[in-house]
Amino acid sequence: MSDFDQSIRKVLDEHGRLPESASTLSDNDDLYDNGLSSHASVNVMLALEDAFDIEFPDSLLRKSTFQSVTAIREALQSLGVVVAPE
Amino acid sequence: MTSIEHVEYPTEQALWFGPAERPLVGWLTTPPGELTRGGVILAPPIGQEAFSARRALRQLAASLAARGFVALRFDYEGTGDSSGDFDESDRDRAWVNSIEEATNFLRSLGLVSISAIGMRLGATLTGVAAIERDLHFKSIVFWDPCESGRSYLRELSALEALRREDFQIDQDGAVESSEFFFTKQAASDLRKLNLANAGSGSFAERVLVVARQDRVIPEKLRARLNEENVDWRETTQQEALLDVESYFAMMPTETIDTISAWLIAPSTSCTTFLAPEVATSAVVAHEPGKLSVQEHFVRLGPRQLFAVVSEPVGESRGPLIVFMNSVMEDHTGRARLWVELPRRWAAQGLRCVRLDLSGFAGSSWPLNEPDRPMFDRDWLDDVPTVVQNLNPQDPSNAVLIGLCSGAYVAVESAFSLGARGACVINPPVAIDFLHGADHLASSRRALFRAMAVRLKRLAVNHQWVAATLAHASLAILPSSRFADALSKLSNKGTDLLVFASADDFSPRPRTPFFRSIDIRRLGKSKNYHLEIVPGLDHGMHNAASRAQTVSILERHVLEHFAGDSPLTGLRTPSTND
Repeated sequence: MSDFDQSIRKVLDEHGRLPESASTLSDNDDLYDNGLSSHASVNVMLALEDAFDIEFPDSLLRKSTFQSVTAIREALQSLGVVVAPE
Repeated sequence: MTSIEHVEYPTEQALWFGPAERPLVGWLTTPPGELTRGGVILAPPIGQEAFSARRALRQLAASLAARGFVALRFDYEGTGDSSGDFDESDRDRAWVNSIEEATNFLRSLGLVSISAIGMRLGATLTGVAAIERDLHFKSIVFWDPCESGRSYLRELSALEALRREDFQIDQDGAVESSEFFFTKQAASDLRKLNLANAGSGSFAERVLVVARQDRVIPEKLRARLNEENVDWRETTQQEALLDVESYFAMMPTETIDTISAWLIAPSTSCTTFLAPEVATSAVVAHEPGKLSVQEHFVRLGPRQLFAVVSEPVGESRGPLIVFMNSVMEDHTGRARLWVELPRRWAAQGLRCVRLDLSGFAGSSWPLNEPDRPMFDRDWLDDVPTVVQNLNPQDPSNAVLIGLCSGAYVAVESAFSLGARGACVINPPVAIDFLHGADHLASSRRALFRAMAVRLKRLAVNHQWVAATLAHASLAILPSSRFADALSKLSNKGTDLLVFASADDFSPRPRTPFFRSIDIRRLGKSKNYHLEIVPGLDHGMHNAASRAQTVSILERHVLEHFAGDSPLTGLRTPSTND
């Protein structure tokens, strides 16, 4: 697991109120099916913005952006967050 | 004393304060005895959060009063029961002014040491006011603060977009969430507020930030706060307070204890304080070409129900118009319609009263009671009590208005009073079932009364099951023997206006069979007016359908009830009236 993905999972653990640690989920597991609520998604959004010093544009403020670790990673990459090579 | 479970019951009093042309409503909670440590203003959140937090702030005020503080809760201008409208321009300035007015009011009582507590956007406003107006607070508490108005509206928009696929965010426009609607003007004003950019200077001698454990404090805000002598605490209780349906909001007892204990920490000498004479009436509206409107607080009946009477200065005409809460609603947020309409109609000559049913807002419940019942049987006696007190000569000369459970209370109260009119919006789907159960409850036979209790419990816990049972009875039994509650009421002579949300028609709203039963039932009664407003949802959240509903309701009331008799003896009051 890359540092980048670890950072995403850390944010999910601290702000996603998931019943189990995000480290037990695969990249493509549906976070909503695993307990991520709409309110917690907002917390995750704010925490990701703080952690990566970005702001999600309105076009990315939708459910699918936070659907999985992969979806979050792709959204961050689309905002220019650089992924360090593994 | 460290736990609010042992709080002594303080004195709590509604009052008007602030500028005579724009009076504000507050609740002053005073300590037992004649000594005080100082005053504290409690600045509430805005919008739906204000509604969710209201009980918690009341409990905090009581906790502070028990520790020797004089606490003032208040509604910002244009919110709650205060004068003005939410959609006027410069709301950001008006709300900062409200904080300054609240502070000045406490100082006018002779209190020297004044502190402030603000929750969410109330924290943002308090911080901005402290710097801009140089309010010299002793201590200030930022409880789960919003960095700015923009960040708050962005959170709301993001939440809505995550809940609804069809939601479109408009960063510069209106913000419509499932619970609240900020017009373009109000949203634009709010976006000007920024706690992180509050100017230089100190917020207060001491600062406490109570942060959510599960939410990041933005770096810029954290940096600004850390410029001062700040204590930080974390809370895990905001989720259960704000991230749930308002009527499930949990009391954040530990956070309240934390804040109260922190405020009391520095040894402050006590001063003598005598509860003041306060204003219980005010002129709240004087528009050109309309009657001026005066409001006053009343407490009525053995339960000392709290109500606000709105009436034209001078003589009124027509029946008494009575507004009542729906489940767990007060006058904040979307329920502020129950403040706006009485004022508009009083300006047309009608006398109106908005009533807090037992256990809500001003009609207090014990402060150490953790939760209120979702539905209280006493409500059915509340409206007749208030009407008989305010209209002793002719209690039937009343028009009762309610939404959802308030609609049910309005219907049952209209039966009790033989009321002249009732306007009900989205009555509960199980209203016929509840009405039948209530009939059983008044039986002389204990068996039937016990059965009524069980049936009502069924209606509260499984409303669609109850509604279906009532539907089946209505479909099978002849209407001469078993009429629905609304038809019975209109047949008794009550002028009835019913708004029905299509989603409330039946357990399967899109099943033609059930729907046809409903429409035939609702449409066949000769004596009432049925309105089906496109898009009207059960809670009246949708802005467009809400506006259309209000327009129809207003036209109906003014045409049917405002033309009874000519007005006499009218005068324009001075602000001292």
